[in-house]
Amino acid sequence: MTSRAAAIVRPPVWRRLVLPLGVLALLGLLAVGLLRPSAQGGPGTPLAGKAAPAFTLANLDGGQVSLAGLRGRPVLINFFASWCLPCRDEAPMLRQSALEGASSGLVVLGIVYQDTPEKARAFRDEFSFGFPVLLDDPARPTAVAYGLTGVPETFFIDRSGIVRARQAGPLSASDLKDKLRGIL
Amino acid sequence: MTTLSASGALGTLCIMASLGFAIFGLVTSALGGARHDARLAETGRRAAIGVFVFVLAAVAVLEYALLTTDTSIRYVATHSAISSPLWVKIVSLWGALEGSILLWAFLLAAYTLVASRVARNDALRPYALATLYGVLIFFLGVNASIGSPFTPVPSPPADGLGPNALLQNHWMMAVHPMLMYLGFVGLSVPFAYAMSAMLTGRLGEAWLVQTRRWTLVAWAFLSAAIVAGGWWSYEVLGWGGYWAWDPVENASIIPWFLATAFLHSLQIQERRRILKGWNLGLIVAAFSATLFGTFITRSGIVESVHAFASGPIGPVFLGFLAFVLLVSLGVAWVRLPLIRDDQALDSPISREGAFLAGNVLFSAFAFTVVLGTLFPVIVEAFTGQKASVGAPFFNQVAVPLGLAILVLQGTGPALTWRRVSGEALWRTLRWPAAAGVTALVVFAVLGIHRPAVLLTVMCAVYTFSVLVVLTFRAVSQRAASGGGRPWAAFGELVNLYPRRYGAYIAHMGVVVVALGIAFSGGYKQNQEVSFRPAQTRTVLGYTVTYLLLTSEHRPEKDTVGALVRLGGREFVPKLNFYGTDRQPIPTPAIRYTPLGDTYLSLVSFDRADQSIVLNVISSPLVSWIWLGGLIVVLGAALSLTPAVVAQSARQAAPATKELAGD
Repeated sequence: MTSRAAAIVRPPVWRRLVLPLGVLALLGLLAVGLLRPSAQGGPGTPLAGKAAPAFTLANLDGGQVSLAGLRGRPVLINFFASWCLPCRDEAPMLRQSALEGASSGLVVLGIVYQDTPEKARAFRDEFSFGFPVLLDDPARPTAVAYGLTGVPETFFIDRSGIVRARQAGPLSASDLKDKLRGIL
Repeated sequence: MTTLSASGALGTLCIMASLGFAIFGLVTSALGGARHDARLAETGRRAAIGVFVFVLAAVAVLEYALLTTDTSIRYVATHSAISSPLWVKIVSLWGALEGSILLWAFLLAAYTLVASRVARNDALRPYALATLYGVLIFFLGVNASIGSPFTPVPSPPADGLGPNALLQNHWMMAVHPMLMYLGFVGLSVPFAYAMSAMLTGRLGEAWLVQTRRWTLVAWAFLSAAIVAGGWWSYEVLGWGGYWAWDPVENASIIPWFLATAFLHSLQIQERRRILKGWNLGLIVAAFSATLFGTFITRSGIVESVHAFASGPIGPVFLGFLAFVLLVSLGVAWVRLPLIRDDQALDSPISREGAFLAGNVLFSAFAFTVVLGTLFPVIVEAFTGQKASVGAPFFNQVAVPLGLAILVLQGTGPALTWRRVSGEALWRTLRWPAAAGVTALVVFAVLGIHRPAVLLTVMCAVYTFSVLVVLTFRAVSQRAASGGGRPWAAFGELVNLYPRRYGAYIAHMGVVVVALGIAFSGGYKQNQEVSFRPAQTRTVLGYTVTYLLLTSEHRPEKDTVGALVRLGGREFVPKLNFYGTDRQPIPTPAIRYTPLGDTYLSLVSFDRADQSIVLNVISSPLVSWIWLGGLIVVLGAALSLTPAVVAQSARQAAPATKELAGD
């Protein structure tokens, strides 16, 4: 068998290499595509370093909260929904931050994303949020103004109203600490 | 606060046990094959039962959790809800990433079990099973680690989030993904046999002959799934189309092209013992394409309207794809002397020549779709800019390739193996060719002026006529020699040559699909019109009356419908609002007729004055696509049936099994 095969004219080297090289090129391309940062969402936001979009939203308990009225204080805005599991995971941390940050003037705002007021209220009560929980305005969605990619998503705004950082997806304790340090 | 998830733990245990059996099966099968130890190989074969039973148990656990909305499991909490209808809860098994991988593993385990029972006891079997176990280890491994559908939730919510609204909007979601996975996963068996052939060096026809049915079954499921997916888009998405060259759709069509090519070229190897390397390459490519498709739709590397959420699954799939490709290439490299053909094609004008030409077209099609799908990634890798190619690129390539395939699939059956005399060919093809040209002229006179549509009509009529002429000729010859009636002769022929007539039927189905695509693509019209209640307007030549707005409240959704009268019948195109999703999901109302559909889609409504905006779409012959798809599948089913040698048959049937001997 081998001797007969050897008698057959072997194709030139470049032809034998076309397939393996093609496969390697394809795999390399896919790896590049996978590793490129934009595919993962990333921590950056076009809003970084810019003024945070203003909003005035209804509080769950009535009344209105306006971002402009908080100028001079660092603000953490957390978009969440009762149906979102990672939001449940990070909720205790947010409550803690609101309590601890109060001494340095930190304001934590929760903005409910695609949820009903009843479910949002139940969520707030379950995790005993002491901070204001706001309902987004369907006519002029704050979620759109902030370029929300999903929930949870958290924005860190410094005392002069500039967005300093964003966390798309769940916060870890160290993320939260680092990013808070940037605005406090 | 933290609770133990009992079903989560049980499900994970089942996956682990199944994984254990798969590893055991891989080791014993491979050792059994390598040492020619029949008892060890037999042990490896029986491991398939263990794998299947435990993965079945895992599926049962997840289904139970879905049905009872056990939110202590993350998958249930994020993809199901108490208010979901029963069927939605059942199909939520494959409504999201982790569950769909479990379904993949389950179907693969089922195929492996069947293969281990029915496969011939030969030198190929242990390595083929070992390969299947290897693939199983990957999928079960993903399910046991980063893609676990049984991840517990530390603080379970009272109710789940509910499934993706699109998935619960149409019953086709219960059918289409299942068909797709049956097709995708089915390609694993021929792939496993190809690997076994390379590993054992038994590169004759045995592996092909043994897996022809597997390939055909997988191909039929894949064909059905693609058509069903198109129909689902048509029924649900509200734009009157069925195919948009979205990456998810491309992911399904690439393996289909490659499997179609394989299905044809394997016959060349069966008959002529050439194209060994090509066949091995095609099935490895087709199997890899299923992984590639899964990778691109799950990794988020290309934008897609209906991609799964991206997660850590991407790199793992890429790793496995790389592993499969590199191992296949490596083994092929070692076996290169055995893979080379020692004959060449006798004449390009022959059955095998036509098959080969078709192969080139299908592969070119597959390559183009891969290129188009990955184009954004390529551009971004080199320039950092975002770019994409839209449907126009694909359509431009698809039309000439599709037409060429259409002509070939008519011509191929008229050709004989090895070589054909020009005269005999001309005698067969002259009337069909004349019929095709006549049809072109007639349709042009009737007012069809789009070149692509006219050419499709010509090629379709030509192909159809060739198949009719061939069948008619065979029937009349048989009736003449046997003295029987033509219908009886036809029945005998079909019994004797189910593969041939199955292929004819499948080709006819493709003709029907092609006409549907050409006319619905070329002559689709749409108009958006606004209506006040009880207003009648003429839209695209139809008299449409809007009567009133209806609404319905259900636990899982709110529906607003517009009662519309068209041609004496009433239709209710709807918009559905699911749970917390603000984006409504349309349910268009469609008047199906054989020659064209009228498609009514509610675009928007105003509760205050009850006015609506309706999109009216007229789409000729679109139903032919679904009908043609059904015909293709029926043809494949006929091809699968064994040849029946009729008692009355005078001439002995040619031994169809002659090729099985190696």
